[in-house]
Amino acid sequence: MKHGHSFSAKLTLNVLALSSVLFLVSLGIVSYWSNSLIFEEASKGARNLVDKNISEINGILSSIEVSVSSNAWNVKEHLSDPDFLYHVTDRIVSENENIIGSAIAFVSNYYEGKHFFSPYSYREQETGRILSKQLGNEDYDYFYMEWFSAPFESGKPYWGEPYFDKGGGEQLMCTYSYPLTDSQGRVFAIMTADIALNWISDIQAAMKPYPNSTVVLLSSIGTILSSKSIVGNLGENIYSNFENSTVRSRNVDKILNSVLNHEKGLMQYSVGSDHGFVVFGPLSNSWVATVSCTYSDIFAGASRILFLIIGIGILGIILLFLLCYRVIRRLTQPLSEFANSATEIAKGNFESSLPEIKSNDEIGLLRDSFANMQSSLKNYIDELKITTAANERFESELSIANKIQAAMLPRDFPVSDKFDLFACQKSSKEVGGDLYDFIVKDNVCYFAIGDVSGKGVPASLVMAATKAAFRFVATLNLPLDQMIFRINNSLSENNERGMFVTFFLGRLNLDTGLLEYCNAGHNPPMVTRADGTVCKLEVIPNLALGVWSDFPFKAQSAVLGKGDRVTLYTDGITEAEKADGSLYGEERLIELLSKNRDMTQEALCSCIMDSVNDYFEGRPQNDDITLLSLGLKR
Amino acid sequence: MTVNIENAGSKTFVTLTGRIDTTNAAQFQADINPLLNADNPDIEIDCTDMEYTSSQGLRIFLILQKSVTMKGGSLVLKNMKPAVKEVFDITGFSSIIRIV
Repeated sequence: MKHGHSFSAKLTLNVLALSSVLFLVSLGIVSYWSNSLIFEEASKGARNLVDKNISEINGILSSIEVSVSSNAWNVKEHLSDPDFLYHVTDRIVSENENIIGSAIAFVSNYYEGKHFFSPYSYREQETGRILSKQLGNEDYDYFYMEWFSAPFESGKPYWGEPYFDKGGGEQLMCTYSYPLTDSQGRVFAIMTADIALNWISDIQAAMKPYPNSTVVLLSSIGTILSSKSIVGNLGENIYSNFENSTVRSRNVDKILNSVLNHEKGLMQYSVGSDHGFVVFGPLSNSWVATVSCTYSDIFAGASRILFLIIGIGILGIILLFLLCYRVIRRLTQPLSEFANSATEIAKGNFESSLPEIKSNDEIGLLRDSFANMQSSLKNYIDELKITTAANERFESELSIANKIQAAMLPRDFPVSDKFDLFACQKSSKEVGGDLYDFIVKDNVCYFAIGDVSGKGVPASLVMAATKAAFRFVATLNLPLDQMIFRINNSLSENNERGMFVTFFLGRLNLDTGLLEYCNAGHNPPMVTRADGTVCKLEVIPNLALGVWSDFPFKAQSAVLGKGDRVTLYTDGITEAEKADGSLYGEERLIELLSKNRDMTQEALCSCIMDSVNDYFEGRPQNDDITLLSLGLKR
Repeated sequence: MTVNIENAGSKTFVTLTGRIDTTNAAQFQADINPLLNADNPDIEIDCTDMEYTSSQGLRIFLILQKSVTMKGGSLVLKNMKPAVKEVFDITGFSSIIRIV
């Protein structure tokens, strides 16, 4: 039989729920903490990378600047020998492998008659040989070109915007211009070094911190200088790319602004489903190096560890569940055994065995209390059996006593043509102390009624003694007062308990109707005359029997006519009590006697008994009821 | 049924209230018991509020009267209701117990 979930399952589930919550909370804390740590590390790494990138490219750029500037004196030394200048450009290209071409472009008519003069050396792409030529002509009017005009006007070295060299190297190039000034500070020529930008892509590729990172070098106005990437192709402008982009993005405008202003920093971004941050910083020539890292890359390792931890956690919780369930089941197993034992004990099997418990914990205590309860119950039930048996014996003895007592009262009522006599008794539950008796001898009838004080066995013993005394004195043919005197003395001897009997003794001469009587504290009998008048018999109370030895009782006498009757009763009739406490009383009795004056004694007795019985209305009778009636026939 | 006993000098005043019947006769006997131990009893029992006595109650009055008589003391029952007095009269107890 299962009552819902078992105790062990409930307890285990509780433990499990608690440990799961703890696990999740600590996982959250660890994950938050490690994520911020990882982010910090990643941003630090990215910043370092950008710095390294900047310094590396700066190094290359400055080597180019040095290559050019260090040859400036050589040009100034040999201005008188224009052809020698080809050697200078040749040397610049051959000295630095990043330089693919170099020119010295003179202002118009520096040399008489020469509008354009620009010695130029370049590295042939296929062979790697260095060739030289004169660059400027009508088709290549360099005075209007940025690489010439910008430094010419400012008088300062200038890094040009990258451009795609058509007809030349067929590649993305960038030109460094260095102005040459005369003693008056006037610019008379611009020295240049062209550099290909393909090496930038190589450097950038080597710097990638994560697989999905984008390392991009931008010119000062946003031209992409590294090879194709997510932000655009080589030579394209990153701003125009983003302006045209339809992908929803956040923060990108701000980043591009910062980049454009040549700031240094780190900013988070989000483009479409791609989230991450960008680190950026300016180079010496106003270019900008950027590195972007996606969060999916940064936290890839952490996510793997998180999944591992969750996996281990779930496994741990399953193991914990199994272990808890087993342990708790083993610990609580005795409880269900106790339940079985209790059921057995409830069925009355007091010998039912209890589970063996060796531990000293609460279960051990429970077992001790259980064993104690079992033995106490067993003892209690044993005692109860003995008590019950004794009670049953006592009750059966009482019922026997009741029967013996009832049997003491005579049931053979004399009937003759001269007179009749009838008596009846209805005992209350216990053995009681009422009695009646009669003897008919030589035309004389002795009769008596009595009521012993109290109830129960003591009263019934006194009643028996009284009856025996009556039987004895009735044989002596004495005056009535003498008979009562003797009965009283026999009952008064050693009567320390103060038991007493109210008693009425009468003797009726059946021929003459002379009624002699002696009352000992009993209620006076009723006399019903033939005409239906009812009255109490005149009695001297004297004293109840057993109270006082040698009490001088006085006898009295009256005469009964034919058709008269005398009715004796105990107070069980007049004091019969209804539920509301009202008593049956003498009036009802007198009325019954008068109304039924023509009945036989037997019919009258049963009529009175029925009337009293009805009066109780089903309540138990509170006292013995005894009735004796006799009379002379008409 | 209540029994109230007060001692005033050599005299003992007792007040009885309620019914004395089968259910409380034993209690009545226990309450009366101290009166049986007095050396020179002079007892006055006020029965103004005594409603009824059964034969068991009479028996206890009888025991008390016998004890008082034996010690040469006196017992008086006062202010008894007619219905109660009738029981004492019928049984003849009025002739051995002083009722005023």
